[in-house]
Amino acid sequence: MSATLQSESPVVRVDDVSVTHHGMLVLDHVSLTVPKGTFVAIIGPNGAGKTTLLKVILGLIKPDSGRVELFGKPVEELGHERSRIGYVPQIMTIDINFPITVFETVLMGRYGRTGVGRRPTAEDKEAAMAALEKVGIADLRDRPIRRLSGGQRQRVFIARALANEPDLLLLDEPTMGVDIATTGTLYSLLKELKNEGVTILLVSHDVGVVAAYIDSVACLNRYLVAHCRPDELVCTDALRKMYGCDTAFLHHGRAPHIVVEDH
Amino acid sequence: MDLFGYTYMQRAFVAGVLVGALCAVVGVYVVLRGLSFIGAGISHASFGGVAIGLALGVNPVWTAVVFCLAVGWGIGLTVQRGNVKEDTAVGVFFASTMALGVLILGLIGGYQVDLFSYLFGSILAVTMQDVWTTAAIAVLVLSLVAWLYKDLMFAVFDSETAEVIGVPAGRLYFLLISIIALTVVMSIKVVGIVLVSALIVTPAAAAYQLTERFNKMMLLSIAFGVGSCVAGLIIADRLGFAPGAAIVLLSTLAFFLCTLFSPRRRKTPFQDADESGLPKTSA
Repeated sequence: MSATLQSESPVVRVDDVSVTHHGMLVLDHVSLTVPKGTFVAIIGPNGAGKTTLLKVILGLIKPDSGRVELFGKPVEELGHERSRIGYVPQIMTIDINFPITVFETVLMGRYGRTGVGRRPTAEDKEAAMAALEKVGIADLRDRPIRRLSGGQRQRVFIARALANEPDLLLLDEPTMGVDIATTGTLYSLLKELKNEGVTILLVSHDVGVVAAYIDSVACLNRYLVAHCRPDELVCTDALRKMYGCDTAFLHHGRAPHIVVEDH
Repeated sequence: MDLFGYTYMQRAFVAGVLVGALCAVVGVYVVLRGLSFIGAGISHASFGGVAIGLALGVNPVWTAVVFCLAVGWGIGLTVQRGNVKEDTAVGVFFASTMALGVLILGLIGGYQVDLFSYLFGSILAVTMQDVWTTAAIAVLVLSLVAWLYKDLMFAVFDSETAEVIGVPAGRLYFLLISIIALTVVMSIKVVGIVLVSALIVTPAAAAYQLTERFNKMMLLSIAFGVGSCVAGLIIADRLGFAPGAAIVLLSTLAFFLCTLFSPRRRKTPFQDADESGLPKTSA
């Protein structure tokens, strides 16, 4: 298995990336690879540069130095490959009062494929409907997005990413402001997608929930503190470095939890 | 109606309908993307453009178009490249372009020019040439919007995701700024430089109050925009008001009425979504 992984170029390759913002070093020589078909989480405290790293990977922010490749191609040269990407932005960045329905929102996930100036095809609409069914909110298709709960809204944006039938799925804090039930459903869904061969990169500050489902975890705090299997994280003092206080993983069955002492 | 018996009145109505529709369509994107201040900035910049035209002795409409496009793109590039916020960039261009206009008009002794008509509109002085120019620009802008309808909506709603999956949101933003610039210049005759940003923002803002659907917002905005222009002209004619001011005040009245009856005020954001966010299951 490792032989096949090595023979293929990784889906995401971040090579020695540094970013400064208003004179502040936000990312400090970060390197990261995400092999095909794996589920990787980037975790770190607030202000660690997680979202910045994600935006650099997506080509939305140009790094001061270093390079990023997606699907073996420099990110700034991506063309039709962009329709292989599913992206779930931080829900906070979305104007939830925008006059748009659930179905219209999910259909947008297809627009890269549809092409500029072209009408969505029957195939696009079917894919959008299938994505809505996959996240379990097909019955809400005609509802304006402002008339949804936080959990439902999060599902809409995941469905939009899935409508693109992505090979690479990137999610920015998908569990923020979402209840435990939806969080559980979300992770089962991501696991299912991973089994279908989708490469997943997720950004979260939520260490505990993430650990049970992922192949590897990258701990980021301006620089990459550690990148390892989640169960190996216990042995390192990566988290101590990252959060600046003593931390420890406790395993309850298969789901590790994190305990943070008073600080 | 004897109102339509005068050809200048017919031209005024045609221009009013065209400009009302144009502003209303552009306004939907302006309101949803939060570009109101850019709209105001570009409209004030048109004063500088008009002054340049008067100084050069060419049709001020075309110098204003070029100048507004330049200022709009300047604002867009400043925001995109530098560490300057949108409202700061507009703030810098806003007054300076007007100052440039005043300076130029002072130099050419242009205070003989009817400044008042540029500032507050002169819809009753619309010429046949004005009507044709406005019609041509309206056809151009409206077909662009019809062609790029879904892409503009995506870029305005979530430009980052659009860019990520291959919809050129950055270029669409500049297209939008260009459309705003064209619309502003075409509206100068009808409501004037000072009032045009109101004609762009207010009908769309009123429509936003009444619906949670994009298509409906577009149609309602057009109805309010065209309605305000037509009704404003009639009222101005009957009561001897300044037409530009009557049009803008009517659309503002519509906005306040819409706010009163807005479903956005009456109902809670998610009235029948249950706490867990899980869909209701029939089983």
